[in-house]
Amino acid sequence: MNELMDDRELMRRIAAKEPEALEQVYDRYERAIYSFAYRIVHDTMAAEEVVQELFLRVWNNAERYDRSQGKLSTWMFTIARNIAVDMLRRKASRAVADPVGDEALQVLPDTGADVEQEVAMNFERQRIREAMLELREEQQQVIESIYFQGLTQHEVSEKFSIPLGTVKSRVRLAIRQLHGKLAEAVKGGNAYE
Amino acid sequence: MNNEHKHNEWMDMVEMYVLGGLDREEQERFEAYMKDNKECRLAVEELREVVGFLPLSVELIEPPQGMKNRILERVFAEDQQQLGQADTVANTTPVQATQATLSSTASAKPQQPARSTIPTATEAPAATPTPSRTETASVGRRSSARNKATIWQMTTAVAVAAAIFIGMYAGNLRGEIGNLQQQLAMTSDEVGSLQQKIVSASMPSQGLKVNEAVKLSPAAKDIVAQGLATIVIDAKGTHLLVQADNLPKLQGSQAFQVWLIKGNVKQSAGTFLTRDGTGAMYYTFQPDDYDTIAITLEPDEKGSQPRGQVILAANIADQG
Repeated sequence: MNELMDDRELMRRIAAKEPEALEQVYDRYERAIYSFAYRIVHDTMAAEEVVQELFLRVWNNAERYDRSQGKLSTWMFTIARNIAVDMLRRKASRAVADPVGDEALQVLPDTGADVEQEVAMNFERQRIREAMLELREEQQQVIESIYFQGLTQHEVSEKFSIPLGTVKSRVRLAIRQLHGKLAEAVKGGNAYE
Repeated sequence: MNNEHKHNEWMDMVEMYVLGGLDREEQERFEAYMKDNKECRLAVEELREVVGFLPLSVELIEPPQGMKNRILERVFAEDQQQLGQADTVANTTPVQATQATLSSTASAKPQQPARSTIPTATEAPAATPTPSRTETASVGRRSSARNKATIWQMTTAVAVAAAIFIGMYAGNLRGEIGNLQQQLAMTSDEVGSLQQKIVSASMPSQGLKVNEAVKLSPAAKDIVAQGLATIVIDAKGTHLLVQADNLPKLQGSQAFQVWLIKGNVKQSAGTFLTRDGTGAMYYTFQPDDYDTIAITLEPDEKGSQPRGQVILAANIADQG
């Protein structure tokens, strides 16, 4: 769909070092990426650092993005997660989070984007949240531990004292269930702005 | 290869792979298999999109004020540095374009020009601003000796700041920025030289006005560092430039951070990049009644509140 074309065109322009193209991508994904990074690192400065590192990589490696890697948003979220998880692991000896008061400060009323766009985006997000909530609790737990906390399957097995095979099957079933629920969205576009 | 796994076993790992739950070694082996197996590759591509939706489940929060400018400027500045090193012909076009766009779209923080030289500024001291406070202008209240010093500082700061603007807009001067910044210790001759360059470059230096310049003093006896904080107000906002030298050597993940302080409230103005004990930074901010500006030596650059020793500080409450 257009989003893909748009993504590819934007990345082509970024590879050609057009700052406006990078800014366009930045504007489109800033909040989503920042919120995602913050969800992982639980620290505003660290989250900003993740976003910065991500955009440095986008700017310097735009030519490496190709369609087989999926939508640009997926590519960027993957990189952002890798950066954030690496950061978590480097700080592993420290407490993961100390968002004292940070949450309250940050939680967000929407800033005035286009109303229709906002409604569409909220609808999309709502659908994904619902799909997540429909997962069984133990499935949500493995998703949370692996995807948002950066643990490996072995670490999850150890942390929760559950067999590795159980961790694997929970992940497998969870992803398949999400796939079923979100199949339509996977084929179509979505709103990140 | 991968003899130890049958195809189905690899396929059973697809979900774990896309979720990111394999350890490094497992991941590398999986990717090696995936490379040669189309079915596996296609499964990954499809499920990757599913996982790509997970970030959308998080609660949206508002990015910190000024993040866009800080990040884009850093990105373009690094690129700029590389360009400078490679001595490409590309000159200023990208930067100018960026500035135009940023100015038009971003929040009310117009610090692009100086900020994009930050990487360069890392090599050389001069031109780094940091945020501080708003109104100023009270230079006239000082004693004449103080006025003299302030004027000298203002002149210096104007020259430096303008030099940065020139660098941004005139690609052919880019290579000179480093030299200009190194001159920040500044003899009067050098000031004159910079001013000549300002005049010779058709740059919008007229929009720049130094409203306040304060000397940063060592916060302890054994510190020999010194610095200068300059507040500049132009049509685009209020900017703080901070430069310092003779800073202590950093160890490990240590970093210098600049803080704007108002009573008990400490606002980070960002990391102060240094090289050989010299560094500078630039920060655009919303005017507030900050009373102190300080540079601290932090255990790392992640803190949202100061944790380390104050190296340099200056009272700015009575400057305006």
